[in-house]
Amino acid sequence: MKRHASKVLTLGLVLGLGLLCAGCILTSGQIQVNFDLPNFTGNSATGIVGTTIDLNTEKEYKDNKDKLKDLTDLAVLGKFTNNSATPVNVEVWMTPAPTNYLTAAGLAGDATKIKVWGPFSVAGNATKVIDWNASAQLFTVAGKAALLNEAKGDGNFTLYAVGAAGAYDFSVANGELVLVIDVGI
Amino acid sequence: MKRFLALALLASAMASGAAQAAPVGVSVGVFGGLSVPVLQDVSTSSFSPSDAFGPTGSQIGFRVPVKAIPVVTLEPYYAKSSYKDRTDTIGGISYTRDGFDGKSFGLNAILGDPTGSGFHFFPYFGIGKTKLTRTGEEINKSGYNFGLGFGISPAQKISIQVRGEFAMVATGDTSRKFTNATAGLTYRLLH
Repeated sequence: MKRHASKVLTLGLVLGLGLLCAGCILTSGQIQVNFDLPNFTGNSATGIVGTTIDLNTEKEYKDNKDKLKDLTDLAVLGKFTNNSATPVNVEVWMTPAPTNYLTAAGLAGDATKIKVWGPFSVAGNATKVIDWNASAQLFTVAGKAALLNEAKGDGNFTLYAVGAAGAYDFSVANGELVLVIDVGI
Repeated sequence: MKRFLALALLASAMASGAAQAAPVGVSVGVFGGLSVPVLQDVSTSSFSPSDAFGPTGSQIGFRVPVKAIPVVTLEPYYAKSSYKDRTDTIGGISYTRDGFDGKSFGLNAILGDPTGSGFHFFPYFGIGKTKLTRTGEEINKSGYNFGLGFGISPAQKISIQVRGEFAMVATGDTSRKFTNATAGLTYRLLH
C-alpha cells in the first residue's frame, strides 16, 4: 500500500511541476482592442492617404502593453466602396515608421514597406462590408509578424490601402483595425 | 508534447507494475455537456465580470477508465468541442467571428474509482493535447485540466458521472481557458 501511495504522490508531483514549469499560464487572457480608422480613399490617379496609428492612444493597449505576449487574432473591418466600374483588389500595406506618402509610387519606393493584408476584391461600382472571418484570413505572415513587432515596440506606424494593380478608385468607411492580444495578467 | 509522452510512459509503467498486484478494471464511457471559454477576446474598457465567460459551447467525447492500482484510476480520453460564434458591433457595423472547433486527447489521473459502487466524489487532473481551429486561426498545443466529479452506480456495471472541470490550452506564456460541465455514462467491461 505504501508503495502505491508513493507512486500516486510521484505522479501528482510530476503533473504539478509540469503545470508550474509552464509559467503563469493560468493568469492570462485574450483582450480585444479596436482601433477606429478614419474614412479614407485610394485612387491611382489622384493619390492615396495613409493612416498613422499610435497604439498607445488606446487605453486597452497601453494598460496591457508590458504584459503583451502575442497577437492571436487580427482583422481589418469596414465598408469598402469601389467608385469605378473596374473590379478592385484592395491591399493594406504598412510602413513601420510613420510616413506620409501621397502616391502609390511613393509607397512602392519605400524599402521598409510590408504587405499586411489583402487582396480584398470588390466588384465594379459595388459596396461591400467585409466579413470578420474573411478578413482574418487575409493577413499575411509577414504582416502579422510586423504588427506584433509594432505592438511590442513603439506602436507607431502607418497603414496605406492601395489597389493591387491597374487603375482604381475606392473608399473605405467605418474602418477598424481589430487586434486580439495575448496578455499575461 | 515531450512532457505528455513522459507522463504517459510513467503512467503506463505504474499501471503495468501495479497490475501484477491488483485486478485490472477497464470501463468505457461516453460524455457530453457544456464548455465555456474564459477570459477570451474580452474588451477591458467595458468589462464586467459576466464578460469573462464567452458564448457557451458544447463538448462530447469518450473515456476509458483503467483501474490498475488501488488509489488512482488512469483515464485516456478523447473529446470534441464546438463553440458558438460571437457577434460584435464595431464601428457601427455588426460582425460575426467564428467560434473555435476543438479536438483533444489525453490522460486523466483520478483519485479513486469513478465507476465504483454507490455515490462518490472524485477529484482528478489531466494532461493532453488540444487543437483549436477557426477561420484564420489554429492552436495546437498541450493542455491541462483539473476538476471534480461525482458518480453514482444505478445498476451493476453501469455508472453515471457528472463532472465540472477547468481546462486550459497552453499557448507559450499564456493560455486559452475553458470551464466544462459534463455528464457521462460508463459501462464496466472488466472487474
